[in-house]
Amino acid sequence: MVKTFKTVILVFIIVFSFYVTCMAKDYSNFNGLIESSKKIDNNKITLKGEAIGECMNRGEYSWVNISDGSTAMGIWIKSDQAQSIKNFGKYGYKGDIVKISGTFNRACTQHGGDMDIHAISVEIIDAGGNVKIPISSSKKVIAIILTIITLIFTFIYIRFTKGTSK
Amino acid sequence: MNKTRKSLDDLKIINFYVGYVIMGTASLMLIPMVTSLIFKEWSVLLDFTISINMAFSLGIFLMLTGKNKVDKVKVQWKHGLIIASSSWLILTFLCAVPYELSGKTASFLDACFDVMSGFTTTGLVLTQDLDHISLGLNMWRHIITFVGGQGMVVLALSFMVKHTLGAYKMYVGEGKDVGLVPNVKNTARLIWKISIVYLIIGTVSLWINGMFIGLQPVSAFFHGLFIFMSAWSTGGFAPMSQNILYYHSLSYELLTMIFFVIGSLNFALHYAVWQGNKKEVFKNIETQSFFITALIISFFTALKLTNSGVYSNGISVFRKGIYNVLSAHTTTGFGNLYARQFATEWGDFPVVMLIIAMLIGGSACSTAGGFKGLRLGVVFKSIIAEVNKLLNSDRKIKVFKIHHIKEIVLEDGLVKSAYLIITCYIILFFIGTALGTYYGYPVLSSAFEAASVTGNVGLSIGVTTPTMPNVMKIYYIIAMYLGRLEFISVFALIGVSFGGIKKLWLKLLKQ
Repeated sequence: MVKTFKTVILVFIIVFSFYVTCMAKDYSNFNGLIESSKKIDNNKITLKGEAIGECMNRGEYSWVNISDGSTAMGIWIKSDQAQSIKNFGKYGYKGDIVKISGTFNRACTQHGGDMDIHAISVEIIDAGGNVKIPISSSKKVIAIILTIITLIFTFIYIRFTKGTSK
Repeated sequence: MNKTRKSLDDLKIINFYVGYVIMGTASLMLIPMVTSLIFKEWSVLLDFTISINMAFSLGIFLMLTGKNKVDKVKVQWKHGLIIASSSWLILTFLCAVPYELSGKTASFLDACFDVMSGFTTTGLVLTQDLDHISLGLNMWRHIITFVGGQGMVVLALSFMVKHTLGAYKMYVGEGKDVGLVPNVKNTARLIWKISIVYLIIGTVSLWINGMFIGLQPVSAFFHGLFIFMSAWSTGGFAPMSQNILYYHSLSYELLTMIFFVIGSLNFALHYAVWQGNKKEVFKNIETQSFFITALIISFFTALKLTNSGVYSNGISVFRKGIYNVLSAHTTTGFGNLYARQFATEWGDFPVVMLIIAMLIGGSACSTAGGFKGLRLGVVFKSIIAEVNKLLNSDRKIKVFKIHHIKEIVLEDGLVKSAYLIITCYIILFFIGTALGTYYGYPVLSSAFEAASVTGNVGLSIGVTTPTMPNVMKIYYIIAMYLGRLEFISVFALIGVSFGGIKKLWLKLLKQ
C-alpha cells in the first residue's frame, strides 16, 4: 500500500514538473521580452495583448500587431486564425484582447530580422468593440467664447487696415 | 526718448511678422479639423476649434500692434533672426494645445516636446498610446513635421503678397541661406512646389504599396500620406507606436528609404536637377560628402553586425543595419527596431557609428538636421588646403574651390563659419551627454540620445520616455530648437531678451 502511495506521489511529481518545464512562459509586458530577447530566442512563449491597427493579409499568413499598452509586437499568424480576431484597437475602438502562443524570434530570418512571434494558437480572451468618447461641455463653451473673440479681433483688424489705407 | 521709440518700433515690426507667421501656420489646423469632421471625431474637432481660435486671436493681436509700422521701418538682420526664432517658440506653445486637450500627453511639457520634435523634424515622441490617437491629431502631428521641414517662415513668405521687404532676413533666420531664384518669395514658393510635387508622387506610391501589403484602401492612403510627410521632411514620426516596424514590409521600407534620402538633399540641388542639370548630383560637394560618409559608416556597421552574429543573413543586415544607418545619417529617425535593441543587441561599435552618422546629418538648406555634409566637405577641403600650403613654397598660391551648384572659392570666412557651427553642435552634444549621465543613464545611451536631439534625428535608445526627468526634456527641447535653427537666430533672440531685461533692470534701479 505504502509502495503504491509512493509511486503515485512520484508519478504526480514527475508529471507536474514536466508540465511546468514545458509550459511556455507567459508575457504580458513586452518590454521584458525585448530586454531578454537573446535568452528566449526561438523559445515557445505565450503573450497577451490588444490587437491594434488592422490585420495585414499576406496570403496564407497575415501580420497582426498586438500591444501591451505601451509596446506592440508583430505576430505572424495563419490567415484563417487571424479571422477570429474581429476588433482592432484604434481611436474610438478597443481591440480584442488575445492570447497568443508561438515561437519568439529575436531576429527572424524569414522576415528580414524583425523581432516577431510565429503564432501556433490564438485565443480571444476579451472581445473589444466601440468605445464612446465623451464630448466635454466646458470645451464647447470655451470654443464658442474663443470664436467670438477671434471674430472681434478680425473685425477690428479689418477696420484698422481700412482706416490706415485711407 | 528717441532710443525708446526706436526699440518700440523694433518690437512692433517684429510683432507684425511674428503674428503673420502664426496666422499662416495656425491656418493649417483647418486640415485636421476637416479630417475630424469627415471621420466624425467630434471631441477632436472641438480641441482644434479651441486651438485655432487661440492662435488666430494672438496672431491678429500681434499684427494689429505692428500694422502702423510695417513698410515704414526697415527690416534689419536682427529683426529677421528674432522673427524666425520667436515665431518658432510661440508656435510650439500654440500647436501643443491640441495635444494637451487630447489627453494623450502626461503634461503640457510633453506636448511642447512633441511639437518641437515635429517642427525641428526630430521625431522623438512622448505622446502616449499612439495606437489609439485620432486621425485628426495624427494628421496634425505629420503636418507639423512636414511644415517644420520646409519652415514656417518659408510657408508664411510663400503667401505673402505685400510687406516682403525684409523677407530674405527672415528666411535666413530660419536656417536656410540658399536662394533658388533671385526673389526670396519665389524661392519660398519654389520650395513648396518641389515639396508638393513629391508629396503627391510619394503618397500615391506608398498608398498603392500599402494596399499590396494588406492595408485597407482608406487606411493605406492615410498611412501613405503620413509616412511620406515624415520621410520627406526627414521627420521620423509614424502613425503607429512601432514606427516602420508596424508594416513588416521590405517594399515599404525601400520606398521610405528613397524618399528620406531625396528629402535630405539640398533644395537648390532639387531645383538644379529640375532645370535639367543632372550632373550636379555627382559634382556637388554635399552629395559627394553624403555618399562617402554613408558608404563608410554603412560598411563598418554591416561588418560588425555580421561578424558579431546579430543578424545571420544579408537581407536582415540590410533591413536593420543599413536602413537605420541611412535613417540616422539623413536625420530621419524612422526605425524598424525597438529602441532598446540598439543597446541590448547591437553592441557599442554600431551605436558609435550611428552617433557619428546622426551628428553629420544631411544637406544644408534641406529638411535634414546635423551639422551638414556641406560643412564637413568645407572642413575636409580646408584641411587639404592647409596641408598643401605647408608643403608648397610661399610663392606658389593655389586657390581651392568647392562645387556647390556653382564653383565657390574656399575663403577664410566660409571655413570659419563651418568650424563655428560644427563647434556649437559638438558643445550641444557634449552637454546633452553629460546631462544624461548625471541622471544615471549609461554614457553610450546618453551620447546616442544627445546626438539624436542635437542632429534632429529622432532615433532613440530608450532614454526618451514620458518618465524621464523634466530637466532633460527641457534640455532636449532647447537642443532640438538650437540644432534646427543653427544657433545664430536663437542667439540673437537670447541677446535681445537679455539686453532688454538689463535695460529694464537699470531703469528700475535709477528710479
